[in-house]
Order: sequence, then structure tokens, then C-alpha cells
Amino acid sequence: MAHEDPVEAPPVCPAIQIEQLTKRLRNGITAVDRLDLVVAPGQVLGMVGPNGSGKTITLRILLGLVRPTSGRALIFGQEVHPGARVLGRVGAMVDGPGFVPYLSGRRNLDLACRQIHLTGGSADLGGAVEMTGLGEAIDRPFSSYSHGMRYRLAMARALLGGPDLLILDEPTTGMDPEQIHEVHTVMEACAEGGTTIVFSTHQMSEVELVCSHAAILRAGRLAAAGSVAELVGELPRVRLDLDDRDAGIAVLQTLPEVSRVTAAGPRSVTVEGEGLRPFVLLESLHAAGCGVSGFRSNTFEDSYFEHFAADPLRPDGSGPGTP
Amino acid sequence: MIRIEWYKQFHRTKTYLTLGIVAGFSVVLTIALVATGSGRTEFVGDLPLLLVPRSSGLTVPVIALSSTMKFFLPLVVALFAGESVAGEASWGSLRYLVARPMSRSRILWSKAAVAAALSGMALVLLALVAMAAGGLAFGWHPLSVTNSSASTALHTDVSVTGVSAVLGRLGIAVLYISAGMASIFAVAFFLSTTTRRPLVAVAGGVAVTIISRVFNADYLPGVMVVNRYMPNNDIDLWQHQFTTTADLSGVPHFLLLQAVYFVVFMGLAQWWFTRKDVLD
Repeated sequence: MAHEDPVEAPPVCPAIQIEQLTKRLRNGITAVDRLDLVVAPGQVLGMVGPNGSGKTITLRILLGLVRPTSGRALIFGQEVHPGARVLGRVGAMVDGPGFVPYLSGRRNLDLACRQIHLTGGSADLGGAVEMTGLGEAIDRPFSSYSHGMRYRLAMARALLGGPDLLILDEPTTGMDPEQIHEVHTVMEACAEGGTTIVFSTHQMSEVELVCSHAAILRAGRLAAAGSVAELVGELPRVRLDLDDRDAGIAVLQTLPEVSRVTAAGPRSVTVEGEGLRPFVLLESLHAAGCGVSGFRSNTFEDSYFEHFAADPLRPDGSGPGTP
Repeated sequence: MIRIEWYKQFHRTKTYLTLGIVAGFSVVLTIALVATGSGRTEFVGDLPLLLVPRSSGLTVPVIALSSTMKFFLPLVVALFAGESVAGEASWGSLRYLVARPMSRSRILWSKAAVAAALSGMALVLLALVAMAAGGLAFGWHPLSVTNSSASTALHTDVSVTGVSAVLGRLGIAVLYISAGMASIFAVAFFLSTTTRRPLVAVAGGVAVTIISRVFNADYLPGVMVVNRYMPNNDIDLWQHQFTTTADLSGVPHFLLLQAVYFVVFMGLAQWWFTRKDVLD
């Protein structure tokens, strides 16, 4: 019988590969410190961390705007440097929209299209104009636009030419709920189309809502990275609103997976334990005749604050969730 | 890329306004000469040349170039050069320009080319409008110029130049002044790559002119040592074309000086811009 060699699938090239990336600024501050991060194609990765944690500088390095002091960043296997060819596959919005103020939205987009054409790409001006949803305002000078209109235009520019990777720096800052929803919808549509998205944000709920993965940065270092589900799962905790709090606490304390039950309000309790299964808790409470009027599981925000933000970096520089 | 830069400049009110002011200057100058009394003798430049506007409309471009080459034109040149990169940075659009797969050198030199072309246009416009306005006001006649520095009580140094020869020499004057603006352009352009405040870069370019004026041995003989290296001091040598005793010996040194300033500061601009972290 002939032996057939197994056919190996070609290795998938990461959308982003950051290796030991360090950036020391001229004022001596180390903005990014030996950062390692891999983003697979198709992922939607949210970068979170306090101000000064290195999110924006990392995104700028990925766009060739800032040169790293050491280490390297690769996009689709190609090292990024100013003017790198691979930047043609990237759409971006960094540090707010920046347009020529006296030109209309349409003319600004036209300029962006021309630049893409100049570098061998193709972009559809009509489609981009339509995407902005600005109507007749598209022919008004950019300087007359509201905050939301400016961000819409910036998103349309970022999506010009159908980028394979979208890099967005706090894309929903200062937006009203409708505008935030629009941006999320666009991001979801892009992600469904296979576009890899990396964005920074201070909104934890945004990460849970939009992202498949998250990276938590602190002091220029990676504190944790992984799928959102994994990161949220690292802190098994639920909050319950009970009709009879004391009776509920008594029931919950008998369950083997519950390690701790604490009162969180007149009718609320917080339940902690490894491998908590919400339906087991609810079923046990129901069986004991204890009514449950509210249930909230652990959120990404809980994880962020409980595990990462408050926990100091270890002396060796690695965070608690460093891969 | 140059087309993109042209597109931006030619959809900008400020560009038209600047060029309009330059053209308007020549018109206002002509009107002022007519209104003041065009039969009087004007002292023009540092030589100085003595011109009677009414004798020929071609006196107007000579006066216009002479009266603008030491401050007004440098200001215009510094404006175009200083705004080119810093303006883009101040709008926040520079980062989107350089985040494309295009070398920063290409972006930089496209901007430089457009700013230089606009500076040249301003100078040509000034001369052309002055010629047209002067022609309308006084007609084009041979140009009679008295070189006051070569005239004595016993001898008046007068040169009379035909219309076509004057036009040719005015062309040379425009080229010479353009070359003389290279140092100011390069300094303002370099500063433009280092700041996101266009006004700083423009002020830097204008400062070159002012410093040149301060270290000018014509006014302060004690600064002769540095006078030779000041970029703007010999910008008026073109005026000698209109005298009988043309002393153009300083021209090669002046042009060489401009070339050195240009290469050094444009080189610095290139070095800085291609290495800088774009945080704007």
C-alpha cells in the first residue's frame, strides 16, 4: 500500500506580529517596552490600557509613523517601516480625523483616492462618499463639519481601497450613542468580510461588544492577551439579585463550586468560585424556593480591573496574563 | 504626488490671496507713482539707481523688484515654504499622508517643488503686473537710469537701454532674485519639517532676511567679516545691469552662497523628515 505523505496546510501568516518592540521617546520615557503580540488574520483585537500604556505609539509604529528603538513589527509577514509597501493593505484612523480643512469632504476623499491610485491600489470614490452618509454636506468644507461628521469621513477614508487590516485609534471617542453604534456596525461588517481590525479603546464594553480578542497594555508592556472569552473567564464571578438575600446566601454557600459569597447590596450578592456555571446556581436557588430577579455575569471590565489594572507587574516584567 | 500638492494649493483661498496681494502691490505702486507725481526722480535700491517713472513704464518693474526683494518677497517665499509641511501637520493630515506606501522623500520633494513653483510664480507675477501697469501708465520706452554712486558733480553716469534689452535684463533680474530666495526658502522649508506651527517656520525664513540686514556692511562696515556669508545681502546686484559700470563680480559668490544654504538646509529637511517620528 502506497504511503501518502500528509499534506500540510500552508502556515497562516499573522496579520500582525510584534516582536520585542521597544520605543523610547526623546524625553527618556519608554512608551513601549519589549512588547510581543500576534494578531491572526480575521481577528478583531481591542487594545486597552490606561493613558500612556503604549497603545497609540504601538499603532503608530504599525503604520510606519514612528520608528521603534528596537524590535520589529510585521504586517502580513512584511516588516513595517516608513513607506513600506505593505502599508497599502492597511486602512487607518489614528489620533482623530485629519483632513485639509478648506477642502470639502468629497475633495478630501478624492485626494485620498488619488494617493491610493498613485501607489498602485484602487479605490472607489463614489462608494466612499456613499459610506459617509453625509448627503449634501459632503460638498461642504471639512472645517464646517461636526465631530461626528469628521469621524464618519475618517472611517470612510480608512476603508478606501478595501484594506485587509484596519488600525483604529480610539475610533469612537467623543461620539454620541448613535454614532458609536454606526462605527461598531461598520467594524462588524468589515470583520465579517475578513478584515483584521486592531483598535485601541478606553471603553471596556466596546471590547466585549466588538472584539474577538483583546490585549491589555500597561506601562508599555503586555499585561494580558487572548480571546475576550478567555480573558473574561479568568475571573469567574457572577452577581445575583435575590428576593431573599440571606436565604440565597445560605443556599449558595452549600454549592461545591462556590468559594465565596458576599453581600453587594440589600438584595444583591456576588458569587465567586472556579468553574462557576450560572445555570447550576439558578437551578439550586430555584429548587430552594429562592427567587432570582437579576443576574449579571463577569464582564471584561471586571476582569480588567480585578486582574490587570490593580495587579502590579511582576519584577521580571511579565504581567499575570502574559502568554 | 506633485499633482496632489497642486490640487491642495489651487483649491486654497490663501494661495490666491497671497498671489493677489503680490500682483496688487505692483498695481498700487503704479497708482501711487502716478498720484505722487511721476515726473520726480526716484532713488531705487542700495546703489541707488535714479529713475524718473514718467520716462518709461519699464521703471515700474525695476522699482517693484527693488522695493520688495529684501522683505516682501522673502516673506512670500517663507510663507509658501514654511506652510508646506507644517501646515499639513497642523491640520493633522500629515500622518495620513506618510502612512501610505510612499517614500517620505517623495512626499517631501513634491511639497518642496510645489512651494518653490508658487514662490517663483509670485516673483514672476510681481514683475509682469508691474510691467503691464507701468506700460499702461507711462508707456514702454527705453529705460534711462542714472547710477548715483558712479556720478559726481562733474559727471553724471546715465545709461539708456532699449525696450527689448530691458525686458531681457528684467528676465535675468527675476531669475537672479529667484536664486537669491533659495536660502530663505530652504531655511523656512527645513523649519516646516520640524514644527506643526507654520508661523514658526515662516518667521524663521523671514528672520534670515532680518539677520542679513543686521549684518550688512553697507550699513555697518564693522560687520564686514560676516557680511560675505549673509544670504540676502547681495540680492541687489542685478541692478548693476542697468548701469554703464556694471560690477557683477559678486554674482558668482552670491549664487554659490545660495547653493550652499540651499543644499545644507534642504539636506537637513530631508534628513529630519525621513527620520522623524510623526506624532502630529
